Amino acid sequence: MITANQYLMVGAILFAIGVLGFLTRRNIIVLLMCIELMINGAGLAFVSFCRQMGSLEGQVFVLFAMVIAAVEIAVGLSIILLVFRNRATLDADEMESLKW
Amino acid sequence: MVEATGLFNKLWLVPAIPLGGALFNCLLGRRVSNLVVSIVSCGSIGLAGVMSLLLFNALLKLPPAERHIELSVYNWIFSGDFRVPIDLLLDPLSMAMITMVSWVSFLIHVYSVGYMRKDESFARYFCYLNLFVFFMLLLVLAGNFLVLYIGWEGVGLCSYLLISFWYERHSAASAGLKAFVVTRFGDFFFALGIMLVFVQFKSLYFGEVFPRAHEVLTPAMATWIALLIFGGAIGKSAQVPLHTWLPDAMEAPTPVSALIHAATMVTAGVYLVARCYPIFQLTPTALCIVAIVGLLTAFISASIALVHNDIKRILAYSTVSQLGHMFLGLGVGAPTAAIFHLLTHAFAKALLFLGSGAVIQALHEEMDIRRMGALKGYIPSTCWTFLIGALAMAGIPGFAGFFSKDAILHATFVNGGMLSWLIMIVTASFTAFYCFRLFFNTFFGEKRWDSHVEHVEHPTQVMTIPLILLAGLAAFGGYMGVPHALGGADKISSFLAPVFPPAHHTDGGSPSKALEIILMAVTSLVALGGIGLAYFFYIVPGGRETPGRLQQTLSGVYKFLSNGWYFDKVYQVVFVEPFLKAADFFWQAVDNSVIDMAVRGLAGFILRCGEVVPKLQLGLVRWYALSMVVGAVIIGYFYLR
Amino acid sequence: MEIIFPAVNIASIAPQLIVATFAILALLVEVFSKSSRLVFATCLVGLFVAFALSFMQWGRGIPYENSLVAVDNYTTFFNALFAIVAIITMLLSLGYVDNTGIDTGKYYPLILFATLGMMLLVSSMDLLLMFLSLELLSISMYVLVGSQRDRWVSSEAAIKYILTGAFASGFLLFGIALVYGATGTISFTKLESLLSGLTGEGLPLLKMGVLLMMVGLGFKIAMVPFHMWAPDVYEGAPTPITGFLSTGSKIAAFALILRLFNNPFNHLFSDWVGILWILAVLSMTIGNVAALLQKNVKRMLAYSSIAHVGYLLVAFIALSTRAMEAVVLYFTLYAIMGLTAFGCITSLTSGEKERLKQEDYTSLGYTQPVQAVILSVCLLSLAGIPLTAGFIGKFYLFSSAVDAGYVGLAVIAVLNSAVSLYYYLGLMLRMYALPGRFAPVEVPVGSPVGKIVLLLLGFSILALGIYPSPLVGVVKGAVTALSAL
Repeated sequence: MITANQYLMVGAILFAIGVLGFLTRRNIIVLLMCIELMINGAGLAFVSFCRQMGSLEGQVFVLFAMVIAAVEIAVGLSIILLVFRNRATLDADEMESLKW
Repeated sequence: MVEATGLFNKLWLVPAIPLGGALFNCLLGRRVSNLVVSIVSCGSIGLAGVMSLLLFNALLKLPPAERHIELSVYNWIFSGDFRVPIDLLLDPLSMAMITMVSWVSFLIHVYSVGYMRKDESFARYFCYLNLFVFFMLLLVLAGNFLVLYIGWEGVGLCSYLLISFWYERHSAASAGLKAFVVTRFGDFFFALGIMLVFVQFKSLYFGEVFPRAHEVLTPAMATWIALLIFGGAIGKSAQVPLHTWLPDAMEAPTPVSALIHAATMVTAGVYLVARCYPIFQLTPTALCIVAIVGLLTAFISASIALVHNDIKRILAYSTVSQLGHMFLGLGVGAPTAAIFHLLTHAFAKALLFLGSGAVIQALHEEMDIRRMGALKGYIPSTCWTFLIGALAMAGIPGFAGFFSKDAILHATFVNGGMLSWLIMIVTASFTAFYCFRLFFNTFFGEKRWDSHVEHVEHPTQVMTIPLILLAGLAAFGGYMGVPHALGGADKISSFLAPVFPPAHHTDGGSPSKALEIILMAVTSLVALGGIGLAYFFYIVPGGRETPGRLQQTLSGVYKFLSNGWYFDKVYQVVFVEPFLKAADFFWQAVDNSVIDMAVRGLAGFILRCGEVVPKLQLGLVRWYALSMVVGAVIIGYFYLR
Repeated sequence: MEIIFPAVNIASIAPQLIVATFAILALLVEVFSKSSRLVFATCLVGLFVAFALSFMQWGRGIPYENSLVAVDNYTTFFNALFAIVAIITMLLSLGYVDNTGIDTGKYYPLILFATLGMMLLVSSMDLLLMFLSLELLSISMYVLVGSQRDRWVSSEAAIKYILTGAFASGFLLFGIALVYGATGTISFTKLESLLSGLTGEGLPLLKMGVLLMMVGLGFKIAMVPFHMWAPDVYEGAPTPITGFLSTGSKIAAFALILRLFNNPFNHLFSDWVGILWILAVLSMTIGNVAALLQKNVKRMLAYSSIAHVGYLLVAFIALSTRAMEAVVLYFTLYAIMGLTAFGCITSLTSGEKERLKQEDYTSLGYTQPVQAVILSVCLLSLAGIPLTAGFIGKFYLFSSAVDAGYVGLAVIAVLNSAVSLYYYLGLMLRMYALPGRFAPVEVPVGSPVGKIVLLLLGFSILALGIYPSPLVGVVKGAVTALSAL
């Protein structure tokens, strides 16, 4: 029997993978995917809490969070496109003309 | 205390309207024509003047005991229990002051329109001038020490700006700086005095300080506070030993000298002491010092004025001397006489300065009276108005200065003793002499102008009309205070009386009318004598050589006087040079090695951080994310612990 | 479980609705008429109407029984403030956007969407609405930052902003999930009543959740250590948007933090005091020190805005009514100062060339006297010189901190203000350096509207420095609503 707590753990692990991935990867598309992982980890946590408490708000929240994630990805990809047109690179470490 | 109602609620308009004029001239002055600038600036002062007359009328309708109106305009800062209110106070003293300030300013503004008509910085000039009037009105209307101090510093700032108005001239710039530094020196004491008041009373509000002064203050503390406040007054009102800035301040455009350095700002010190009179009354020591300083100043600067040749500097020293009269009046327990003299002096001196401005302009910036003469035929209106000013200044019976000066001399005789009265009599003869030396040398005798003066420039209408109006005031202004001895009602004293509670130690009973009349006769005779001497020296053909011979026989005295009793030299030797030397020493020995290491070390360290810290911004997204995560972990460690 | 459709009181959220409606309307106008002027006008009308409506709503709060949106003076005050900030941003953008390759058809509606996000953020009484409005604000801002499509810095700023911003909102979302898990509710009112009695099991989860939420919100207000994005994004963004970002977006998030810690999370605040004390010191010091030697003026102001967050935290720690008043007052004053500073830079743009380097400002007082005077007033105010708005603001902030017993913190804040004088006055002195060998740089063609707006802003900085009491009164009214819950 899988308990709600275990779902929660999976959610937390997903979130952590997202964070670590964000810190280690260089490709900006992968970075966006890591953010997606974080959001989904949070979503999983919401659903598991929902299940635990039997309230509806968490599920509503997840739906909205998914929409927001989609919007973020859409806007993010369009900005990536803009960046790519300007510099023809997707390496996050090369975007460092603004510093100090 | 009477809460402001009706018209008195609009009291704040009196300073606010000139401020509006200043803002307009500052923001739009350069965009609009000079005509608009003149209309706005003169109009705003005129409106303030009308407003003050309306208030005057309303105030007179109140019974004397209720003529004390307080208006809390707003709270500048109101946070918790801490409150910095902008309070205004209208009582007979501030009423008299705002009426004089607004109307004299108005006339001088009008005059300035003519005087400055060719100047490129027309709008800048009127911006400063309006701003000055705003601060001056704020100063005299202040209902607490903080507002008074804001006005006090504000007029100082405007004075600095206006002295250095022609900042391309080196002398103007350095005179402005001198005025600023010297008056700031006095302001430092004043600020200390205000702090001491706050420590003692836990309030800066006049309504809480003055009525409780005699309960709260010990005599020693009262003396300290009074002397610190008087320190500020010495600086601002150019009293010995801080008087040296005022003659240098004559670098300002002449209407500015008339407004700031004769009629209004320099009298702020007198006003301040009068305002704080409840504190001064507690301490005979302080009053005595005020009287001595006033007496010395009156005598010293009148003697210096005897020998100077620069038309504006003579008037400047005369101003210092007359301010000394006022302080003497305050010191000998005659504050109403001092304020009365303040008013009449403002009329007469503004008139003399404006007249001298017309003379200077007529002769194309000539200021040396040895190179003037015979101007009566060229600029008659200036000549005759100047004569009235000189008569008023000399204290000839019937003119404004006579009544007020007499009141002061009378109080000096009664409370200050014979010696000080005698010194003042000598001073009175000096005053009459230098006024008419100036008058005769300028307007009579033969032409002694430089050849470059091809035509004498006539003052325009806007310049002569203020002259005539001021002459009227200088001639008849004294009738608001005709003493009882001459069958007058002495209206000004009874008007001002509620402000100054009856003194304990002055008033040696009511002196006999006969004595008063005798004193008056003596002063008038002495003044006439001074004029006669001036007439003999500078008009009578045979007498013309006398001044030169006198100068040779008394060359020591002459040098002493024309160097202004060596005040500047002494300051140079005693203060400035040792200070520079000490500064040099400290710079070489102490600063470079010790302090510099410390200060520059600290500053250098901070600047070094300024180089290093931004380097943490690597510009990399991953780095930023890492800093967030690490930061969150550290915060989390402390938070969840 | 049955779903009850909530009753919607349209009138109570009229300002927000109006902004939303006009934003969509403007997009439609853009599609059908292609006239950027018409789009501009539509957006401006919408904001003015929203401002007028919030003006009328003042003092007519509605009790929030299970409502998603708080309709109280606090909300109303910020609705009006954000409407004004947006209006000023739009007016200052006028000449700038046409010269720098920005698609005006999307630019102005996006400002409205961002404004809507701010308004809803401050009025939200529910974690869901809070999250959604924060995202609405953020996403609009991402696009606005990247709206100069031909300039690399703009694109770089946008990609940095969206990556770090989305990263931060991931934390926020997870934090919300944990709070929800610990309490079982997402409504502020319920949270408050639940939290007062919460002990034991749920507490660590809740605290973890609040911590993660603070990461997300701390990012938005650019508080150290979540500030690193700010200088880069501020520097790269189109200048009017930098102003918008540094005022509107920051204030909205901070105002929300105020509401959170006053109402739902009030019981947790005592744990935060020590941490915020350190963060306040770090924000002030790092911001000021990093600004000292900046060559780029926009970047300098970005660091200085981090320092100002530190000043705000100084008072925020006290969390008394007086401190809240001080903070909200400072929001308003800072909004004016920030808009003025970035507005001056905007209006000094000539063609494609912006004056970004310190050198570009040498002797500006002689070539561009109006902007130079306004910028000087603004810099003096940012430094906190008396008789300017900044002095009043700082006085209220620091005195309320002293009042609450945080004397040491106030002293550090004052010392920091002293350090900040170095770079504020440095720029000002540079503007009034006598022109010598420096050839005058080309004359900018700022729009007259922008200049008038700047004059008004500069005037209001002085006016509020001399006569702040009306604003203080309004702020007091706004804060009462906050503590009345």
